[in-house]
Amino acid sequence: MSDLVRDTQWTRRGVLGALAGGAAAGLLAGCKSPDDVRPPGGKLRLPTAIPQRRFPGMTPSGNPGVPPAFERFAAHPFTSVEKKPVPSGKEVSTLQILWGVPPPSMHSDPWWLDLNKRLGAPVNPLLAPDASFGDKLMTVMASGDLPDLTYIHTDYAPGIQRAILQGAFTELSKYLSGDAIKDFPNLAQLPTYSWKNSAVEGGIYGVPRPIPIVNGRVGLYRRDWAKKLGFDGSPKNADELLKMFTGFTQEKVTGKRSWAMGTIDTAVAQQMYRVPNGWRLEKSGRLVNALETEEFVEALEFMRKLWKAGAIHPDGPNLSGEQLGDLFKNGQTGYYAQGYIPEFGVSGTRGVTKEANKGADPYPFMPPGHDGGDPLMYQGPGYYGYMGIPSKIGEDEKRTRELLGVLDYFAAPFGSKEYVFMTYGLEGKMFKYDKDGNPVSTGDTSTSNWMALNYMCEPMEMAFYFPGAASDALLAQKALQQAVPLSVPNPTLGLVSETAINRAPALSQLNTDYQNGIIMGNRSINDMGDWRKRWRTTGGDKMRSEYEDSLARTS
Amino acid sequence: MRTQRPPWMERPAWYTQLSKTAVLIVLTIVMLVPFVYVIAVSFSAPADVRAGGLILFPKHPSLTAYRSILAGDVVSRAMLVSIGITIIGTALSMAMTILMAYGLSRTRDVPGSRFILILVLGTMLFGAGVIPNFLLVKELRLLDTYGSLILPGVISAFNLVVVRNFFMNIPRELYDSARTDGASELKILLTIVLPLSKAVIAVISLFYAVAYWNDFFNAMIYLNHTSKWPIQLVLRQFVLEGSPLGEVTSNTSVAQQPPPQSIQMSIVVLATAPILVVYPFVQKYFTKGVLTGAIKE
Repeated sequence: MSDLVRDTQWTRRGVLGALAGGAAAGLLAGCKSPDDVRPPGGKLRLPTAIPQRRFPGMTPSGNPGVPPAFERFAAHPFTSVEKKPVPSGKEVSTLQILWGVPPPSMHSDPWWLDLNKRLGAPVNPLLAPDASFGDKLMTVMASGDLPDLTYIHTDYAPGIQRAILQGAFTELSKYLSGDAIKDFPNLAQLPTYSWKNSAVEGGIYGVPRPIPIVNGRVGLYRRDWAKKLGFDGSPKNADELLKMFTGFTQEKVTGKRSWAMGTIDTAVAQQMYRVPNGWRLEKSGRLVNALETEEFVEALEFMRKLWKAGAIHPDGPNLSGEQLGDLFKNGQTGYYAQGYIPEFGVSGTRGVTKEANKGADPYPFMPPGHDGGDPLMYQGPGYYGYMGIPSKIGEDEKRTRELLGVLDYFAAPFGSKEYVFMTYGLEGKMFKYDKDGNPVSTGDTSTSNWMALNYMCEPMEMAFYFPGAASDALLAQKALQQAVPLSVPNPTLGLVSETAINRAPALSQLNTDYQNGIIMGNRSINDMGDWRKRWRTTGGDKMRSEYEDSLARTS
Repeated sequence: MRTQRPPWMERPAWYTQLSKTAVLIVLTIVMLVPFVYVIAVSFSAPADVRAGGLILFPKHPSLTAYRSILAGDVVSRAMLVSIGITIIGTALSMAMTILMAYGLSRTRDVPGSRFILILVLGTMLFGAGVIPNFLLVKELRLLDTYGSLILPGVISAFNLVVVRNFFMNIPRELYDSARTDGASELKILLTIVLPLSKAVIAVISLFYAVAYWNDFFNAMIYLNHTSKWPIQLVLRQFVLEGSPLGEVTSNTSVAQQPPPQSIQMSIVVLATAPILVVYPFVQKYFTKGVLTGAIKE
């Protein structure tokens, strides 16, 4: 799926979010109308970064965009939070995203009870399943009773951006900008890019949950299949990549009916042809959408060739992420990209694929430049949502500091006692240390849902550490070290466009229809002109001018 | 129930019967295969499921997926919640639907009943939307209560219309004779109307029960604590997330863990079985109940 489409992927929750955004924000902001957007303006004052503590077994990357690798866990975990963060003992209510199975009730969940003790106050969570998080967030917002700590993610509810600008959440620069963040040392160790990219028009409205800055763009490919096809290393240009991907359809190479890709993943071709990451900011200050560039057409032509050669699964556009993962793990596809960290480790895609397919060698894959040069890799936002504090609660400075203290606890860095608790749980019950000092599961699956509350701003995706597959850590780091220097951000990150909020479903549908139609041969490449024209008139031009205005306000 | 051919209908030719039988067998297979597949995968060993292919019988039967799901009390608790909501909700819905349908069926005796009926029908055409409904439930102080899963939809307009039409088809003379004997409206409803309406009551009860059993959206919107979640919401999490196993610390062989497909299929079995059990008991009422109101006398 292309970045262009992925960035504006809409679902029912998205539509609801956009529709409800105005109403919800209006309720929160009292008498303001949904159109009465009040940007904070001004330049973002970033928090001062504190470097991560070093210890034996750690391999720093030397690049702020690439996490360190760890061959083993810290021999002596250190204390990163000295005092209980909530001295008042007042209950901390939260709205959090739930990824797995719901936890037991508080009194049946030893991890939750221990968390309460550690924080000095009981946590009262409102857990919303990730698939319906947008619905829940917007309805809770509409009720006007936002919890103390609220998970915010514009992908789930685009309308939330409008609510933020109308003052629904506390602007936290006072507590977090510059050296002020030193009061919360764990927060100061979160990567600077996650603060920068999660800011909205120069304001810090929450504590981000960091993820690698290049995420989902360096996938895995079957290096063993490529070797059988005569490739010693990665393909060097577009022709070689086409040859390799079409070779992945040969049953004599793969042993079964197979494809190169499970879905129409245009990011590979777009990075190869150096298509702008969403938008290109020209020197004149004008924004050009990726769709409007010639590189975009070249990438599309490449994808057409792949489709025609049968290298893409015929059901591709309709397969879920899980099904795409299963295709790769079952040895039916030769390339697959997902979130970066879950690609590695024993229970990650690489480990599972190796175990399920004898001789399989899933290896990190970065596309080449189409002409043999470098590709243009895409940076993502570098965070997956952030925890905001409603403005009503933010009026009380003491309480705000307590809540930031809670987030500081959740953000404990790798190697700390708090990180062990947040990531691995309770020693003896949920994990134990192996002979090398690595925390490993006790195997008791009844404890697997005890830690459902830990998803806030913990930096567990900011360390390459894979117990049981130590070499994966350096491999993952090395691949990202190659990709990050070649990567560029989407210049509209942190900018606000009302049209993007309101018209995103229509634009996303338009782009998907044309893109898939052209690649699958149902439309001609000559339809590009019509596509561009419709995109511009459907809201593309308006979105451009709003982003340009937003950019002017913040620069 | 044995159906007999009317005397005027000729016995069909053997080839017609054969082709009909063949078509019916194919249709039956097409409908049954997905069920068999779901059950077979849920009871298959993880390695067999990972190997892929169509599984219609577990080669190496295993309860791994069920053990994984039932570890802890999440599923069992959610099942209890769903059973409770379904039983109480269905009983309440039936009571209220019958009372309202009876009132609205007496168009001559209840002034304004036609207007009220139009209002009810209006709810079939126009919905308030998620947020207004949420605000209403909040103002009624029903948020995070089991009541929020029952009361907002306690009467379904469609079911109400079906029951009302059924009641209207009961001969008026029966009401008149009961009234002549001095029966009150409640007595007429309980001793005359309801015993004559077993078919529609059975069918509508099933409609309500299935709706309560399957509902997850209201629970997702109105409930704050996951300990109150019904089985369908838990099921949805299992299906969407695939695996209940904590993978952060996992260093165990993936071959020992149930694959997401097994987890999904086993929870589908668990969530579907209880409501399927009810069907055979109300099957005999189906034809009569569903045809209710189809013929206007």
